[in-house]
Parts: sequence; C-alpha cells; structure tokens
Amino acid sequence: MSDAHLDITREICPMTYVRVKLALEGLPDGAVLEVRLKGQEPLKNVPRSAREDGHEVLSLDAQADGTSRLILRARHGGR
Amino acid sequence: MALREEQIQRYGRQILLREVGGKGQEQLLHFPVRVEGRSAAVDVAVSVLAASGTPLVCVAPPADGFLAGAVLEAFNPDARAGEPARASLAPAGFGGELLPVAVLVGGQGVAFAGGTTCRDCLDATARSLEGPSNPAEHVLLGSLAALILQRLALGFTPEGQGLSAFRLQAPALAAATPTRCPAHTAGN
Repeated sequence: MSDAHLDITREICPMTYVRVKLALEGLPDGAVLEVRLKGQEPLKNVPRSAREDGHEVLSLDAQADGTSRLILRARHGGR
Repeated sequence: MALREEQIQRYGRQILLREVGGKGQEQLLHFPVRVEGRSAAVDVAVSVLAASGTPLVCVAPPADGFLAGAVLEAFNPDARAGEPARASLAPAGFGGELLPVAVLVGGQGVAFAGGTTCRDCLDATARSLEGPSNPAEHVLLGSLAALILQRLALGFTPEGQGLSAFRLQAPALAAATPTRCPAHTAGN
C-alpha cells in the first residue's frame, strides 16, 4: 500500500527524477511512493538516483501496458 | 512556499543536486543579496546568482553586457528582490553597510564574513584581496563568490563568527587557505 502516486510516463530526462525527488521530499520519512514510469532512461536512472539520495527501492515491476511500477520508501535521515 | 511549475522547469537541474533539492531551491529564492558595487568578478557572480534564482538588489550599474535592472528581470524574474537583502556581495574595495553575511571578491581572492566579524578585520582582508588579475581569473573568482553565497544561503556554513578568505595562487586557486584573526573574531 503506497502513501502517494506519481506518473512520470510523459516526462523526459532530467525531469523524470526531478519529479520523483520533489515527491519524495514532500513525504515524511518512511512513507511509500509508487511511481509509474516508461522507457529505458527512467528505468535505469530513477532507481539509481533514488538510492544515491538515500531512499529505499522496494520493488520495480514491468506492467502489461509497457510501463513499469517502481516502489520507493522515502528516507530523509541521511540528509 | 512551494515551487511553481515554471520554477521546477527552470531550476530542474539545480534541484537534482543533492545539496539543493526542492527545499534548497526555495531557500535560494528567498535569500536576497545586495550587490554593493561592480567589478568584472562581481558581474560574473551576479550572472551566476541570477541564473540560480537568487533575488538581487544592484546598487551600481554593471559593465556593458552584464545583467542589471530590466535586463536582469527579463533574464529571470525571480532575480528581482522583493524583500530586504540578507547578504551583500561586493568588490574588494567594499565600503558599504555590513549585512549579516558579506562576500567580497577581488582580483586576488574571495572573502566572506558573518555579521559579528570585526569591521577592521574585514577591511584589512578586503584590501589584501585587491590587485590585478586576468579575465579568466575574474570568471573563476566570481563563480567562487556565487558558490560561497549559495552555500551560505543553504545553511552549509555556520553563521556568525569568523572571517574566511580564499586566495588566488598562480596559476590557479590553490586549496582553501582560510585566514582567521584571533584578536578580532573572538568578539574582543
């Protein structure tokens, strides 16, 4: 069960992770964000950037419609 | 105050920086800087700060081709100060009012000081920064001055006490060599 949802399927780099970063910043520590994304660039860069910022990547699953579902847990302790 | 959509688009690459983020960008947008005088290095710093969304109050005309007034607003409307300045940016020959944070940039280096810094210490350091340098060094020092101001706005440098200077050492800036005057910075 996620606390917030974000659709970045229509965004292009670098706005893909900018949207995710702003969404994570707006969530309390420990909250879960579900991100719907599409394409190779966000699939590769968004989970990596989230980890580098100290957040947890809980899962990444391909969906039947060609998009992917990324589940992140916001972590703000390292900042 | 949340960022507007056009601000997210404009500052997206800066928001990506770990040290900035959305909250840091909001801080930069609400940290007005007064520009006390002009020099090539100050003009470079003004350009960098204006691009990053720092509100600026320029009290002296810039050199041809640099940003000020209507040109500055057209370049980035966020760079128009709507509230009192919280820091000052000035050439090394600074003679204005000392705000809580002062960043001085000369041909030989950059100095920054908190509001409790002794004015005599600051003036002595400012004089030591004056001197000739080539255009590339002005770009380097102006960029460094803008970076120092941004880090101060983001809260990365402790407020208040002390005076620090980064000096130019040919052929390039050497590692930071902070100077501190115990007689003046300890509140004596």
